[in-house]
Order: sequence, then structure tokens, then C-alpha cells
Amino acid sequence: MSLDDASPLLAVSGLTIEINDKLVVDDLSFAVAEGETIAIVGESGSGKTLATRSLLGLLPSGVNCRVGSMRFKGNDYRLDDLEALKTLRGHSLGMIFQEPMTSLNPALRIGQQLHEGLKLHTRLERAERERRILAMLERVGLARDRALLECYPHEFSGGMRQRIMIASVMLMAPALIVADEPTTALDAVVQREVMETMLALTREAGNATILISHDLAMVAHYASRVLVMCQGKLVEQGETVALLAAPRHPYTRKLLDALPRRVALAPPAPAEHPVLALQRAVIEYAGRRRWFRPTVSKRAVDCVSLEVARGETVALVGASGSGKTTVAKAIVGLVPLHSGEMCFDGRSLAGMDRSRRRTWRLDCQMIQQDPFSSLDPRMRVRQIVDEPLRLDAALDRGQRLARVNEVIDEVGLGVEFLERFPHQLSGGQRQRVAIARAIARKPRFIVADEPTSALDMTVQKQILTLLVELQRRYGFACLLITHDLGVVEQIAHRVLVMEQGRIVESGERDQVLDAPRHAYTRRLLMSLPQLAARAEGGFVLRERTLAGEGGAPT
Amino acid sequence: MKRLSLPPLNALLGGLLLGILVAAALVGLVWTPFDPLRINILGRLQAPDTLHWLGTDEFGRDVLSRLMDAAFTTLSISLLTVLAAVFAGVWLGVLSGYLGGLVDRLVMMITNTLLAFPGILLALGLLSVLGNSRYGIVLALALAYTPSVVRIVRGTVRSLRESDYVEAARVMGHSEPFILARHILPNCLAPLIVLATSMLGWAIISESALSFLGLGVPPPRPTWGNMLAASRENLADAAWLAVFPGLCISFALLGVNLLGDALRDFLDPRMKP
Repeated sequence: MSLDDASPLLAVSGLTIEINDKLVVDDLSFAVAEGETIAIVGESGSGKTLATRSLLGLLPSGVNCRVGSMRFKGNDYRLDDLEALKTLRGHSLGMIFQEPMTSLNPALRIGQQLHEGLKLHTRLERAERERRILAMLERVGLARDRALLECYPHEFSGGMRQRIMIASVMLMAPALIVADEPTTALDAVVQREVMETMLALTREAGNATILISHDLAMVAHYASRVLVMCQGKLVEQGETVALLAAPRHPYTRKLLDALPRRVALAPPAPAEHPVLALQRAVIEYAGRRRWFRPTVSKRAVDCVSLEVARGETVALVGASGSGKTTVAKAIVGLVPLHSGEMCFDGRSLAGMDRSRRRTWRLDCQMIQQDPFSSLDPRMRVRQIVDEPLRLDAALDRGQRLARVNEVIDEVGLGVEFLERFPHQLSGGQRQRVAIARAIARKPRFIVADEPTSALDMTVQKQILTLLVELQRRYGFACLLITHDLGVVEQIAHRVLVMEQGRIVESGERDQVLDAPRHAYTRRLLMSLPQLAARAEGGFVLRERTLAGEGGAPT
Repeated sequence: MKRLSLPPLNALLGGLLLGILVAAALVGLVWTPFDPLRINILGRLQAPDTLHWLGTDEFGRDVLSRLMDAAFTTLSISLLTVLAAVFAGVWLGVLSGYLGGLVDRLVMMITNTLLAFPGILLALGLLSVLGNSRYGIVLALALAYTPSVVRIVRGTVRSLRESDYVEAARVMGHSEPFILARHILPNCLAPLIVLATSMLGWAIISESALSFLGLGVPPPRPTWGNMLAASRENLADAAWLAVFPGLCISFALLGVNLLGDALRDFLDPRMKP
């Protein structure tokens, strides 16, 4: 399983891709042996996706691969010969895409979509195809149930859809599978499960796999070799264990540094009252209204209590659908509480008069998950950051402008960014603008709803560091909503774990992460890949050990 | 910051076509080569020459002067129609999309009913009631076009209402009217401008069609439509009577559509690199 194998399954040489005369993939060469799993790692924009797409002839229009060739199963192909590459797709080269929400056709039943590939590449009878499809569905962890084939994609969760996608690729039994961030869009726990399923399946069938990811720790668990790409160039490659132990290229070291690591945080100063306290909060969504039948409302949050003190970060952790975002929305006033009490500085919100309630609203800000949709596309950065300041009657135009300049500097962007529109910024820069907007009015409480889940690992690290730094400066209380325990490790003081609308575990960060009591917390923790720093530099893979009775997920 | 560069070709061509017509209309208000209404039986059906550049019609009236006079009538009616339809449509669309509930259902019911009739038929029916005055035409056409504006605006508002940046503005503590004016309306602009320009095109056609059918501005006031209608009797030996008003209508339409495309690109900051 190494490069000097007599004839690798796939050998790519001299792959070069240009967009408007700009090199996005520069003279890339690599090989994959039969049955081997390799990983290509790099930030977004490093060219890893384009490079692998070009092997299948699936480059987007306007992007051309002019130079490059590959040797696959002993045959030579030119990478600009799209017709030849097309003959390989499906039965020889399979691809699993990132976004399971959009890679299945919403208008077709999944049975039709699964039959499609087999119909195209084999001459099997319908009954035989169906037998294989059902067997494969069982293998990817779904039920062997004919009724499933009659369902449409929207009837499945994200994790199940990705399993279906994997099934549709595996049905062709391709010799090589390219998986482009196959689990990035999924929850931590589901991520792990889907990944395990996929790799167990490929190992069993003997397919080679190319994993593409920005998450070095995650792929390190599965790949025998890792290729690191930076700005279109292959900067380092090697056996996973060796590469982690002694990374040579500075970029690899930067990637490894970005891995979540527990940092000791200064404990918040003791205060008489928490900034925010939620007591036995219940939130319900009205169900569908029907004629002649009572409306059944859905309880999204059930009796949740939490407190956040000044200068403290409390993480609310849970899978999607656990109700954590609903809690956040209730706190910022977008969703009403059905029952329970919300207190600000020890005073109940219900007992406040109008103007005091207004003051609280202005003192409570939110950082949203997706920086690509949270900024008005028609406004310049200056206007966006100025927006919350407009509500502060004490500031005149000049003072507001001064504050905008100050804040944009504090989030690490220069004044040269002020006249730009959001679409001219990268994801990390946009999230910085969103943070600037949130802190502009020096709020006392901030809700951060998955502030880094749309970002690359390295950018994630920068944003989290920025949040910690700003919290030290302003002393705001912060409620962090996330499904990623890596984020929790880096910035949270305390952790609350939520499942199905209830808080199932709570405590100090170290206590919860090292000695979790609830089964769900354990599953979350087990799904978090862990690399441990070695004393002599570099990293080793480590299985997470949990105190208490073993580490087996229940 | 700003780069000086040539405007795109569609803006240039559209602006040129529409500019000439608008200039002719405005000049026509104060001066025309001849009185557009003066009848000269001796000089009827003259082919274009140095005196009458575009010839004369069956009553000896100067075609160029009549076209200039008609340009103002047609363009002003179309513009007023679109403005009225956009004004009414935006209000109703925003109310319906933002408030939802009963208001939404009521507005959509009326809108759908109006949309069920072909626009020109609706205008015809209304005109027979209102009588064919200038403002009657504006009112009738505006009523026929308002439903499409309501539809577009309502749809856009409904999707924007749920968008993350509107939510962000709400969390900031901004009032609903502020959010509407600052985040929602500006983001409705792009689809609205595309619609408004194509509506201006339809309005020019419809006004001409109404005139052609004899329901436009009453004669002897010339419009491109009634000039075209009158030309039919002498089409065989005085083709210029049909060609020039026809060209005016076509050029006006072409100009409006080209300019609309250019305007949309210009107004959308995302189109800038």
C-alpha cells in the first residue's frame, strides 16, 4: 500500500487546472493503490475539490483542465478528454458529494434513483436489481424494506440521505470512490456513524477511497496516507502516522495547530446575579390547524433552566432537532415562551416595564450560524456594522462612525473593508463582520448560534480565538449553541447537553468532557476525533478514554 | 474608487432609442414642424419629401408632427400606468406578504380574480364604463397590471421576511417599519425593476392597441395606435403611414427592454466584481 507498488490503481501526473489564467491546481501528481484509503486535506480554495473532480471529468463550466494525465487500472487517460473520462464514471469511479440535501433529486422516489445507475451500467433484470438495492440499503444501515424505495428524499434526515447516496455509489462497485467532504453537513454523532459505515463498506468490497476534507483529525482516523494541499500545490504527503508525528511543511503545522485543544480559561468573576437566567422554560410550536380537530402543538423545549454569568461562556450542546436553537431564539425574543420565566440581572422579564425590556433587548445580541445569509447583500460593511448603533440615541453620526472604525479594527479587519459588500468577503471575513455587528453596541449578553460550523478548521480557530479575546475585553456573557464538542473544548466554561428538548447533563467543561454521565454525551464525545500532542512535537492518534464504566456508546 | 468605463452596450443602445423618442415627445410639446391637427386637403397623402420629412396622411396632416405629438401621449400614459401599478402593487404586496393571515388571503383573492382576465380585456371593459379619456386609460391599464406587481412583491417579501439578516435586524431591536424600509424593500427592487420595465413595454403596446381599436385617446389627438389604424385604408399607396408609427412603437419597446436589463445589472451590487 505505498507509492512504490508495482502498479497502483490510479496514478495521476501533472494535473494542472486554470481559471482565467490563474492556476488553481498546480502540477499535482499522486497515486492510490488498490484498496487503499487516502485523504486530501486543505482549506477551501486549496483546489482539492477541483483536482478530484477533474478525474471524473466533472469540472464546472469555465474551468478547464489543460494538462495532466492519469493511469487507471492499467489504461492511460488524458484529463482533458472528457468523453473518455465519462466512460469511467459510475462503474469504475464513484463520487459521493458533500451536500446530501441537494445531491438527490427531490422529484424522484429514491427507488428510481437507485435503479438508475444499475440500469445504465448492467443488464440485470428488475427483480435482481431490486434485490441488490435492498441488500445495499441494509448494508448502509437502513432497513431492508421495499417501502423505503417508494419514499422521496425529503422524507429522510440528512444522515439517512447521505447513506442513500453512498448506497447508490456502492451499488456500481466502483474500483475507486471519491468522497468530497461526505459528512461535513451532518451532526457530529451522525458524521461518525456515516463515516464508519462508508469505510467499513469500502474496506469489505476492496474499493480504494479518496477522502477530501478540511478536517485533518477526522480523516486521520480513516486514511492510511494523507496529502496536504495549499493554494493548488501538493505541499506534503506521507503515511498518516508519520505525517502527524513530524509535519514538515509550515502549512501542515498550521492545520494541526487549528485542531481544537482545550485551553485553560480564566473563570468569570463571581457576581450576585447571572446576566441571564432561564427558569423552567417551555416553548411550543403551534401544530397544523385542522377542521373539527383540536390543534396539537409540538413541544420543542421542555422545562429548560440555565444561567449565564458575566464574562462566562456556557455551551448548549445537542444534535439538530434537539431544541437548542429554539432556546436561543426565545432568549433573543424571536420566539415567545409558553411558560417559565426569563430573568435578566435577577429581574424577571415579565415584570419589567416597556422601556426596561427594551434596554434588555438592546443589550442582547446574536451571532448567527451562516455568515453567507446573515448579512444584507445590498449593504456595505460600514452600514451593516453601523446598523445596531443607529438605535443608540446617545450617539451622533461622528461618534457612530468612530465606533464602527474601532469595532472593525477589533475584529481584525482593517478600515479598507468598510466600503465592501458582503459578497466581496470570504466566509471568515463575513463572520468577523457579523461579530463586529454583534459587539458594536457593547452588549452584555451574546447568543452565538453555531458561529463556526460553516467555516474551515483554520478559520474556525481564528474566530473562536477572537471571541475569547473580545469576551476578555468586554466581559459579555455568552451562550454558545453548537453540536461540535471541539468548539466547546476551546471556549466554554460550562456545558449543557440537550436532547429532545430537555437538558440531560450539565456541569463544568472539564467535568462533562472527561467524565460524562449521560449516554448521549458519551456518544457525542466518542464521535469527536482526537489527536494528542506528543511531548517531542507532532501528534498521535488517540482513542478518547472516558472515566466511568468503559467508553462504549449506548 | 469608481472606475470610469464605457456603459454596457445594452444601456447605450436602449438609452439612445428611448432618448430620441423622449426628446421628440418633449420638443413636440412646444414646437412641431406643422400643426399636427391642421387639415390640408390639397396636400393629402404626400410621400416623404424635403418639406414633409415623413409625408402627410389622408387629410394632409404632417406625419412627423403627429408622431411627435403622439409620442408624448403614449409615453406619458404608459409611464403613469406603470407608476400607478407599481405604487399600488408594492403597498398591497408588502402588506399581504409581511402581515400574512387574513389580509394576505383577501389581497390574493382579489389579485387572482383580476389575473384570471386577460389584461387588455379588463382594460376594454373598464374603458367602456369610464369613457376613453387619458386618465381613464391610465386607470384601466394600471388596474390590469397591479396584480402582477402584487404577486412579485408578495413572494419576495415572504422569502425575505424569513431571511437571516432580517432576523438579525429584529434581534438588534429595530422596528418592523424600519426593517421593511431598509432591508426588505431594497431587496425587492431588482425583481421589481425588471417587472416595471417589461410592464412599461406592455403598457406602450396596450395603449397602442386600445387606440387602434378606437378606445384610446379620442381623435383628432394622434396616437401611434390610431395612426396605425388609420393607415390601413391607404396601405397600398401610402405605406409610410403604417411604417413610421410602427417603427416608433418597436423602437420604444426595444429601448425600454434594453434599458431595463442594464438597469437591473447596475442596481444589483452582487453583479459588481
